[in-house]
Amino acid sequence: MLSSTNTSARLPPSLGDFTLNASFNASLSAGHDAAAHRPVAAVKGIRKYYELGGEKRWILRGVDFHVQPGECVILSGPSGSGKSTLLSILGCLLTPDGGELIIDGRAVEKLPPAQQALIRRDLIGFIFQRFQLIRGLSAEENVALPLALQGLPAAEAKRRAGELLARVGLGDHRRAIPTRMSPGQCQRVALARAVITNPKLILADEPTAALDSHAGAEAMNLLRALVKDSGAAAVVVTHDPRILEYADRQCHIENGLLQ
Amino acid sequence: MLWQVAIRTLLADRGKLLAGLLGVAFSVLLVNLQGGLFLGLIGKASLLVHQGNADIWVGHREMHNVDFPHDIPRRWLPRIRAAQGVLAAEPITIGFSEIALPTGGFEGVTVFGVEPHSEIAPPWEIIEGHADALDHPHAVVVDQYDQEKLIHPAIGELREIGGVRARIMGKTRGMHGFLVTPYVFTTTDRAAQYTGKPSAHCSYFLVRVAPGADVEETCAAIRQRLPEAEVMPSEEYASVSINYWMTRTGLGISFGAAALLGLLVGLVMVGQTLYAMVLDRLTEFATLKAIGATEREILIVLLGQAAGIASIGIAVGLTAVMLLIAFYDSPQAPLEIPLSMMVVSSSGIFLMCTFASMLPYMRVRRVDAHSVLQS
Repeated sequence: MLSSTNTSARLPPSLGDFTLNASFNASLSAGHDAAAHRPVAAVKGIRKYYELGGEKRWILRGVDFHVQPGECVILSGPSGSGKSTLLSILGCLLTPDGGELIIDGRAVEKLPPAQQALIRRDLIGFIFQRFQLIRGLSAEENVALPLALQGLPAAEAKRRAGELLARVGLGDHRRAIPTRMSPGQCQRVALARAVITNPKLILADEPTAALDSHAGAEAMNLLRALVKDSGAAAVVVTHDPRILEYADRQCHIENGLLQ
Repeated sequence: MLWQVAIRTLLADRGKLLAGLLGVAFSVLLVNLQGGLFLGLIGKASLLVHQGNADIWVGHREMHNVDFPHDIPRRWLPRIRAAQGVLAAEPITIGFSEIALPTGGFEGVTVFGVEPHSEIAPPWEIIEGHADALDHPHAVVVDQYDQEKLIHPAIGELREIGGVRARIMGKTRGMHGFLVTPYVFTTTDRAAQYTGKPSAHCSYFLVRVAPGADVEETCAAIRQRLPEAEVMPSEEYASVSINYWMTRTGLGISFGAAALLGLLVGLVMVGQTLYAMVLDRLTEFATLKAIGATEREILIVLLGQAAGIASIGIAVGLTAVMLLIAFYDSPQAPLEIPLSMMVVSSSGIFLMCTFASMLPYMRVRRVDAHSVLQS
């Protein structure tokens, strides 16, 4: 299980302009050597169907997929190809109908929902197309929420959230509620929320779909920097060809099979 | 932090919050109003017993309501006074009659006759007229809240009760019984005339026990001397009188049902409000699930919201109850709302509200984070 106490240490000191610090990188690489060869997440022969009109419609037909630490994989494919379903299975939000799901070396597909919730809490960060921030909470509270769920006192969680928001260029928007921020700012808050617990796996579903090209590029630069510097793995589902350049590896999925 | 999530999300949707608060406040108001009216009403059923200084009431066999006595002989008085533990005993007469109205009509009255300068019979506060009003010939005292029924009798005005002359010499305040007929207070002798009862009879004997004497033992001593009489401590007779109305009129059931309805209104309103809020915020609950909130933590959020609505709603409701007592309470419709009733009703409604959070919780449990977050 991840410790949340070293969150700020693993994040780059100047994420606002997405530049890296050499000593910071060196300390990161030393810490991750041991697990470097083990995939953060892997699926083997994953199958999933939905019932439509009483008939089974197979969305995933035996997919093998893995993602290494520090790697950014972009999953693309047409609508209905199964990419979002695969992402949800990787995020323990959806139970597969066959195959194996391994997160951080542990088979998790048959774990009870409560334990899967703990896996999500400690190992996975989510970024959603529509940000999915809690409307009543400020940016700082939204970012602090995963830490609070991990049991960190609210004051400390907010302090760390404030630091991280400053690093993503939202130091002046800590108290702002989501409805008072631009889509680009909301996505940066969502990114900060996804990484605040120092997850091993970041799952992003169409992270640029609700953003203009400038904000989209900013969000992807930020995501890429976070992945590169923290050693987390990222899986990004997208339709957007403009962001393919940010990928270490691209996977195309069609008719429930990886091409 | 989860409490902050609960309260902040609650405050973020003020329209629904207001609906929930109104529901709870209305529930508190309804429960306390029904309970207060009920207690006030049953208090009126035992008014004559509770207002007096008597420790013991002696009456006819199986007496069951203070307002409906059967005549008993006055000659029992020496036997009662001779009983061990009795300090003083006096007869009183209660009976029904009619008072003539200036309009030519008649109004039924309950005549209540006491011994002159009685220290045992129900004391009343003369707010208009002379303090020793009953010392005057033909004197009667009426209550100011019956002014309209009696067509505004003036002090000194002559009327007839049961065809016998009666002069209004004083007015009391708050002597308003369970029956719709106004009380008319006078002496036992005049009461016998007004009601047509034989002067050798009365309705009850009121007994004061001597200092240090035990009420139950004194009752037993009177029963021994008067086996043909019913002898009850005042509290017991008050309960018997209240029970009469409760069991013979279905009063308890109707008020209880209304109070229960108030509780149900609170339950439904809070449940509906939380449910509507949850439906509006399914994506947020799905997000909470996605970022690792457990079922227990989501339940805490919903319980926090229910507790928040309940606490504020109860505070608003109790304020309204206080205002109602201040402006509405009167002898005709007394509102007796003791602190214990407020505490018990508020606690009950609070529990109902937390129970109401189960409805949205069941909905959140069924939220499929995958499909909600994809939409």
